[in-house]
Amino acid sequence: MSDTVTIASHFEDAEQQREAGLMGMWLFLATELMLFAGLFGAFGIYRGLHGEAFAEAARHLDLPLASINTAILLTSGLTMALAERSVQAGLIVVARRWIVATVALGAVFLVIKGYEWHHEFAEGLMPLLGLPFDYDGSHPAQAELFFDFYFAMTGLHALHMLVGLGALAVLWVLGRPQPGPRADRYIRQMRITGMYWAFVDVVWVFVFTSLYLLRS
Amino acid sequence: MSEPETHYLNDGWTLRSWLLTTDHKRIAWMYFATITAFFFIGGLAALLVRLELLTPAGDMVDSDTYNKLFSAHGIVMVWFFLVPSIPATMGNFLLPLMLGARDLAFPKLNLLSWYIFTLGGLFTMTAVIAGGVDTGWTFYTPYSTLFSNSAVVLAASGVFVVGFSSILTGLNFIVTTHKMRAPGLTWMRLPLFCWANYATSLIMVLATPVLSMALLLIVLERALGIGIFDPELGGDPLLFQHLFWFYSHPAVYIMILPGMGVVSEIITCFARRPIFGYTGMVISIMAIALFGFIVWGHHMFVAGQSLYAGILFSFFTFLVAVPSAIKTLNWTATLYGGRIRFTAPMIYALSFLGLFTIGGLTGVILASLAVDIHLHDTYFVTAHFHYIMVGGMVTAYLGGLHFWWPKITGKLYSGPWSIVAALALFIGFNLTFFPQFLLGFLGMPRRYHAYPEEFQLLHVMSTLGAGVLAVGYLLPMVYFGWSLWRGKPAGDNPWDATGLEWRTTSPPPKHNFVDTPTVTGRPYDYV
Amino acid sequence: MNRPIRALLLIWLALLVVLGLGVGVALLELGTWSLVLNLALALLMAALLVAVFMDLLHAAPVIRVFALGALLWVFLLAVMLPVDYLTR
Ligand code: HEM
Ligand SMILES: [Cu+2]
Repeated sequence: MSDTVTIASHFEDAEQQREAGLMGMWLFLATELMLFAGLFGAFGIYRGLHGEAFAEAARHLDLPLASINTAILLTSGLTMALAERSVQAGLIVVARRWIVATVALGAVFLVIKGYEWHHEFAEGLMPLLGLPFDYDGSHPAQAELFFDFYFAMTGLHALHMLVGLGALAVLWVLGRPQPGPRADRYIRQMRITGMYWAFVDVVWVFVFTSLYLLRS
Repeated sequence: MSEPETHYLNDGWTLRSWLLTTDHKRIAWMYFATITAFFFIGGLAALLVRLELLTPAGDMVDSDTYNKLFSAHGIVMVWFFLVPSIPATMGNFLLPLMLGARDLAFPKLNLLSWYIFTLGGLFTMTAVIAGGVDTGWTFYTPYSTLFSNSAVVLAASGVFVVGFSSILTGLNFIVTTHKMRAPGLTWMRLPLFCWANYATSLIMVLATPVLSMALLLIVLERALGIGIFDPELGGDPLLFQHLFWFYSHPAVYIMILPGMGVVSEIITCFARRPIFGYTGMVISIMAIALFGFIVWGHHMFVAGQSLYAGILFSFFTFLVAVPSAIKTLNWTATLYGGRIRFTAPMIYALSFLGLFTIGGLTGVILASLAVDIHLHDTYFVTAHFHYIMVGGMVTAYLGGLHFWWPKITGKLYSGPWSIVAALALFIGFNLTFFPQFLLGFLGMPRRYHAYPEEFQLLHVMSTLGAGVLAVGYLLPMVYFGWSLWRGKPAGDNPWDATGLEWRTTSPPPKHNFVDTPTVTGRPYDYV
Repeated sequence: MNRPIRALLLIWLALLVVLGLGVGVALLELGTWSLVLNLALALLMAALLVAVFMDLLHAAPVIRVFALGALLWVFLLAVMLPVDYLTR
């Protein structure tokens, strides 16, 4: 196998190169995890301090829409895994179709998210940049804190989605069927992007749970 | 002795061959240059601070300017000098050599971290020039949020950006240590310098993102006008301190562990004895990295944290001193019965040993909850952390530089002058910072530019000491410069040291080794 | 590496079921119980995603140690951070 693989000059063999790349990605995701841990930690503390106010504020969010959106994102996780599988089986054409599906689902997710944001903006629930905050519940101050976190968390997650979509677009372009050494590299890139995408799903699961589901 | 004909330094002379290099040795040089610049910028701020403190009246600068000066000093020294200091320079240069590898696992990422570092530096320098920051190096809320009119967003963004550079360096080091070791180089045969950098990297990867998030929240709070830490909305300014110290206490170990690694290498070499208690050293390095994460609350004893949390954190802090003590003991035991050679690197290493011990012991004093009520936010704390960060880490940095300079450049430097510099550092340092223990004990708070008359004598001593210290820092610039220009060739192994880095030529060839070396025994087989 | 399509589909279905359960539990508004259950279900979904979609199941032993380590660090933060707030 190794005669069909390009190995960077500082590595001994393909195995070392592949394992190093994977390990690097896992470590990178560990740092991402800690990044979000800081954010969720802060949210968790406030959730503990102002439980009632936060639960009430959570009920101002669009749960049905967000649930559908979550299902869409989870499905994109499936299509991504299928894309990876196809590449490993050498079916680049099929893989590229799955990439398209993943990108499409990701884009739909973002559109729905954008619609939600717009809705909150229209309702006066977007306390950013000095916009008025019109809240009809009983704890307007703490609710404002909740919405600050809502926009910080969903915004940061959306940013990660955009990065993922960018990576997928690159993979799609690179993925014209090619023989030999490139294929091996493509498999590695696909694997790494797949891990990242699944990680973004994991983050969303917690964003969704913290913001939308903790409503009582 | 003669130099090799081709090596990494003469492999291309163009600017491009430096700025686009992926050779870890050249990237190390780029870091050397950048952090030295930051060191002198931070030093300039310190100089102004010390000059102001010569007289009791706040007469040289007004209090706003004074706030900005010590903030600039702290921010530049901590984030732009000390955190990257040893890992990004000597770690970068030596880790692959010590592991018998041709480069780090991700050479391009390594170059990218330098660019990120420089970009972050530019941000923060812009902030310092465009108005300055008056929050101190810790960016505490609400100074940094509700009550600041200075360039906090820019400065905090700079530190945020730089964080990614240390994350990427850490990631690179970890993967390299796992995957690129030479045949026969098992974990328990690694030099302690590698272990120290490995532990440091773990902290960088796991702690830095939490700081990034804390800073990001400040930036969002100010840029978007939201109120994450605003008490009016039910936010808690202390929460920022929790997140900040969750990173920054472990980060003080980022700022000492690599120094411990350097000192371990130097002490065994010049005592001509294997390190005492290698396994214990490894365990304590890893223990420091782990336990460093559960003591952060000792910075918040009087900040409004609950008493019970204070007691818990005080207890854990006593515990974390244990592995440091073990290490100090082992270094001393290594010296015992050794045939000690007092070269410049060794003098630096011995200074480290003394100064770190004082710094560590005063840390234990501060960790005592009741005592800290009196000492918190006084010059005692300032002296404590300078003994460790400057007396420890910067001294170790210079020691390492003197130890590996012949390997890095292939040249020797002046023996006598380097000994003068090392001694000037030790004397100047103590003269600068020992009086600060007394000042703090007598009740002089930190961060004030005016003070009662009775403190003047101690402040004058401190400022004079800073002058001597400056000589100790500037002198090496001179004889290192001379050495680059006129130095005699060093030969492959001028100190008769063990370790794979000494088995290749000085300076090393582009790919480090002509043949991949193999390792057959434990490190440090001196005698 | 060779994850059969059927396994992937099953995991996907499982994820959707857990999602549905989570939404159901939230809508029942059981107070603290909802909180605990919702967090547990979120952890379950995350575990499925990491184990199968990120393929931790087939990763090298070091990687699994790393994953465990990362979890431990999140745990450190999650346990130590509230200490102050719970005892004020
Ligand atoms: C031997 C273990 C150590 C112990 C027990 C210890 C203990 C402490 C304590 C209790 C404080 C808080 C004092 C106060 O603010 O009232 C403190 C402050 C500090 N320590 Fe240490 N420390 C240790 C090692 C270190 C190391 C290795 C470094 C740096 C390399 C360091 C750097 C600092 C800094 C920068 C501060 C002050 C931060 C600020 O408020 O600006 N310490 N230390
Ligand atoms: Cu500390």
